[in-house]
Amino acid sequence: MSFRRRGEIVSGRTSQSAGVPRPVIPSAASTRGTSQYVSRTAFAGGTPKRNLENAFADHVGVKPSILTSQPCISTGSSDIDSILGHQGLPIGSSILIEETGTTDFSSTLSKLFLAQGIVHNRINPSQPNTHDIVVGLDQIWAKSLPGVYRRSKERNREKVQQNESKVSVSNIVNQTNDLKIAWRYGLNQRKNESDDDTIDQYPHYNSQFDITSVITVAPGPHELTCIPNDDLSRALKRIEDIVIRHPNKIVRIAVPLFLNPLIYQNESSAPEIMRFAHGLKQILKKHANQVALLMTINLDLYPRNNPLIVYIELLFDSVIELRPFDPQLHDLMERVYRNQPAKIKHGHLNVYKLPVLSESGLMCVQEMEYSFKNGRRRFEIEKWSIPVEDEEKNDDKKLEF
Amino acid sequence: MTSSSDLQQQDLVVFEDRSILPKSNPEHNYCTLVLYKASTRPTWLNVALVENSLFGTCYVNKTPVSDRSTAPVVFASLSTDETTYRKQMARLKGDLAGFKYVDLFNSYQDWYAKISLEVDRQSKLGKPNVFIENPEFLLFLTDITVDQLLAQLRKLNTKCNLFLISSGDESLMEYSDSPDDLATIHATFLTKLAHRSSLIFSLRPLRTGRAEDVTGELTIGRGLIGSPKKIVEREYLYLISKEGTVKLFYR
Repeated sequence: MSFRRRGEIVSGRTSQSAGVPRPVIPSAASTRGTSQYVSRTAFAGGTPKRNLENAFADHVGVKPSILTSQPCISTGSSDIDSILGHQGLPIGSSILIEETGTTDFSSTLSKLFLAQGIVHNRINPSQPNTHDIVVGLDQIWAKSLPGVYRRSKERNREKVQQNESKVSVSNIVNQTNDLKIAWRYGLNQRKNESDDDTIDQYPHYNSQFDITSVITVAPGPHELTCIPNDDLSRALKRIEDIVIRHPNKIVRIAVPLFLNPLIYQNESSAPEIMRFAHGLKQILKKHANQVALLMTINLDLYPRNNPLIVYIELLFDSVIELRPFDPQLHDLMERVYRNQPAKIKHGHLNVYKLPVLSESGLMCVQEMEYSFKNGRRRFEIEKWSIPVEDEEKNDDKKLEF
Repeated sequence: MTSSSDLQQQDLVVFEDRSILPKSNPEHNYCTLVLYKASTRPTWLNVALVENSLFGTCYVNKTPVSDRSTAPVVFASLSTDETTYRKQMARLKGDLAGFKYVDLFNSYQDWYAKISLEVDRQSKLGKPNVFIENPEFLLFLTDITVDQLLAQLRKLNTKCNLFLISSGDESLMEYSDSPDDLATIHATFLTKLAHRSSLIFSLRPLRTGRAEDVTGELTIGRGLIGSPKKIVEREYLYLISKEGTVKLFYR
């Protein structure tokens, strides 16, 4: 018969002290073949080795591509990251988001892209690691970047913690009997461990945003620079100056609503626009280890068969299009899914180019294969399936009458 | 019904003697046009042609090439940076000393002088094969006109075999009444170029849409200038895997 010490936790797991290797549970991504680029060996202290040949290997927002192991950053939307094939946008690459119709979903994606940079930058306030650049819009627009989504439980817990931190008689009394029994049975620790297991190797890689909220402290000029678009060649110089000024940071460049007359009031000639797009690519490739670009454009003024758009697409590494459903299809979806509103989508997402893959000659065009929904918490992308109306039900009802 | 993957893999053959690039001929300089659509970039074909020029081999072909004549390569691109092509060239087994990249991507103002200088340097090793990717960008990035550009390219062609890689998207091939329209300029440039070329490669996606076992179609055709060696006009289907292997099948 063996005795257990009084202080020892009953049925607790073995403690994970420093130096003791622990098994690493592969994340969901590993099932898709991540093992080829990331060493899955357990390391002392549980810190996985990052197999990145990049100066930003230790950057919290950088993860190797599952296809090419190139360092990638998140676009702010995990679904867009997946669609790009690399689980992110490879650094030194660009994405062009085209949109048809009067909707403005692409601006949401621009905001998510920039907000993700701000979140990364604020993880360690003593070591800022990311800088955002917005072309054509001002700080007032930047104030509307979405904040990180918090579950109601988290919000409540925060409130409780805030209340507990206040000095009051009940708080002092509670501090003395701090869930002793739960501690003895390892309940607290077990909860922490389960949390640790679910944390990916790159826990801060992408965040979940709530587009109905705004980032709590509005981004200042030290983390987001707004560049006017009155002169495109001057804008290019300013962008490069800012990139040079932040050599140790990832620089995210966003060019939202490109060529929208509301923002681009000075008329630019086609060669000027071409030079701007080409200049952006030059900056990207010159600083290929630290810069990524996202541009959005509305196709109502410049359709895809416009030669200017064809040229701009040639210069981008990845191109996707958001095509909202026409009213008839939207009505049909509302009718079919009236009891399942979550299934109602907003439009088709077409893929025309993917980073690296298209460049090497792969045909990556996927039209009408995906649908998107701009939800409060997530820009959701799913395989498109045609909604089918249940006619039998209607017939039955008619018969009843 | 047979899918293309069931068919037998074929070799890339351009000339009647089963060669891919023409042998160095002092009397004739080839002007070859490689046209592509945005969704079927010709990077794999460029690498295959560069390899054939440098080493006489071709990674696409299963049967070794019998005639292993080699020539230096000068490569210039206005749309792709050097790193991208160097990564692609890394798959070639051999010394890439004969491969010279001229950086027009970052500085294109004195493009002719830069290429010409490199051609003169490489001419000591043999008649070079010069590849220029997206030369039409010069029409919009600089003040050069279509005729001036064509004249300079022809001048360059007198010293070397020229391979011009250009976008042949339908939207860029539509003439309009406005002479300053991008499509009109592009279409004029390509039409005139086609009349001065002896060999045309064309890459495009399947007309029927996307397929898992076919990436696109490759067409090899004669240009409007005759070639001393007979060109085998043929259509291939090609398949590129994510690992970078390329397979060709007869259409």
